[in-house]
Amino acid sequence: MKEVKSKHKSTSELLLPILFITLMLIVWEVYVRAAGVDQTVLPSPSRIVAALWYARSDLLNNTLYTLLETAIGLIISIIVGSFLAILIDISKLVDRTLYPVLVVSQTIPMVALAPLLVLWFGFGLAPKVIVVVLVTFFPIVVAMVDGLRSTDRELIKLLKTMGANRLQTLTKVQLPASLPYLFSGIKVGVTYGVIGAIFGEYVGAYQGLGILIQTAKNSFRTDLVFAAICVTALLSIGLFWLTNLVERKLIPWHAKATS
Amino acid sequence: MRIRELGSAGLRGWTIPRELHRPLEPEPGNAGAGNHTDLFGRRLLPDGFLFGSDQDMSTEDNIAIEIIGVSKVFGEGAMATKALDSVDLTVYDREFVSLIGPSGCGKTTLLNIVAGVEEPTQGRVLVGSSSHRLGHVSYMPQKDLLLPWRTALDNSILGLELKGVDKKTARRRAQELFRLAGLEGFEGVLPSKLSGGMRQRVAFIRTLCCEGRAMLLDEPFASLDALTRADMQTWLMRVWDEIKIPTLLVTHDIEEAIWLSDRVVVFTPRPGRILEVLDVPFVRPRTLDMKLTEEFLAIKREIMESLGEGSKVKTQVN
Repeated sequence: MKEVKSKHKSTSELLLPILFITLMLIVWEVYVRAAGVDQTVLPSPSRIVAALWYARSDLLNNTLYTLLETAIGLIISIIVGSFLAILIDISKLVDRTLYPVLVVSQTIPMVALAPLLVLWFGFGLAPKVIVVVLVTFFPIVVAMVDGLRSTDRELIKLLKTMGANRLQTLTKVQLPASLPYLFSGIKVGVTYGVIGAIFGEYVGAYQGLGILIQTAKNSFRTDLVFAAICVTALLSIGLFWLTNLVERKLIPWHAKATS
Repeated sequence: MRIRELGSAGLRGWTIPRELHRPLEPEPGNAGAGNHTDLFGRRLLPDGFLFGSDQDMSTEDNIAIEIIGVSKVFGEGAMATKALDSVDLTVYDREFVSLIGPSGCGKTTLLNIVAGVEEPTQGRVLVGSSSHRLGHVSYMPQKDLLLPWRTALDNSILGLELKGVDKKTARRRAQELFRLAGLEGFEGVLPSKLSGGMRQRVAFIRTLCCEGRAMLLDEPFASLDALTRADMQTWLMRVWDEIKIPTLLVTHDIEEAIWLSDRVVVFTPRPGRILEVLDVPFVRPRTLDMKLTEEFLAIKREIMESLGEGSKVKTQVN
């Protein structure tokens, strides 16, 4: 009974935003047609849908390439980020040395760095992956460090009385307890990552949604630009949803406790 | 549903498993005579758990915890505050001792020192005639601190796991205690599905499972509501009568202290000093009626007066 009720609730919760978006699309369509706006300035929603269908194979290939860059970057960030977070938690020295460097890394404007990366590493995969790592690393490390530090002092004391060493405290208590935090970091990272990859491509690439947007814009195919934006949004939402799914499978106790 | 049943009705109908009163059958593998008692004459469960024998021996040889002239000062120079002032206390095997005193009198600090988490500024603490305490004393904090990702059973074996006992053996040993504690059937339940009282029981089993030479309980029932708390005291009494591990309990509750303990130690306010040690003469197993006897009330009155005096000392100092 309870489950049916909650399902009911979530559909009604979705209903309002869907209605709102549909209304906005209708207004948009009517305005473009009635005012006779040039399709290269603002294409109508129907024109965008047509472009989506017309360029479907191009869009799919480029999306997969962008997805690949995002995925590689994210995986590197998660693995290296988790290790770094553990090091920061264990060692005061690493904490004091690397934490400020991490913060500074976030102040570098990507607009300035991305072209340099293309200059150094060419038009291939590497510069995009680097951009993705640079934008996703920070939220993941910070969340994980917070997670490791949030462990109850009393719990650490209890483990100490049980004769646990530092490594045991880490593996038995701190790491599992920090997983929900890690996933919060990954969720932020996922959306940043997709944007990062597209920006990396925009500056110079052979393939990807970013370069697709660039070329479409240069040839005044505004409808195709919008189509690519739609796909980008779907990609981000899809990755976010996937992260949620993995989180629920991997740390069921957390989902149960918060729901 | 099942949890609620056991939480209310099941609790009051709680009985000690009868089979624990019978002499234990020796294990088929090592069926030698006297194999199931240890050096101190304590009964051993098949899997090696130590259980107290029924004879009462408070001789020098049976010292479980020895606190010798322990003082503790926090901070340095002008900022220094003295938490404990030359505390001497001995807990014997099969003895239950309570520490009672106003908040901030250093009881918890003393417990931390006995557990080995902190070192005394002066004096020393011996547990089983050794000053190595970490990993040898079982400590139960006020919060249950159960790990949400582990089942009740796996939470209880944490101490054994840290000692390197393999999971299968550890689980089998803990299973025995689940039976003793009347928690059978809850082994596979996650802590989030357990009531406050049940969680505290699992935490208690986890403490027992550490197989320390002594047990330290730091206000274990303070966060529970009054009814659950009374149930838990009865429960602890029954379980403890079965195992008789030397225990040091910190509490704010005078009745709890008297009813559960063989001796009650009254502390002064900061710096904590032992004001008085009272013997509780009631035989075990104790009943709830004992709380209403003249003798019980006389001890209670004496403790209340001591605590009152203690605070007078405090006002004089100030």
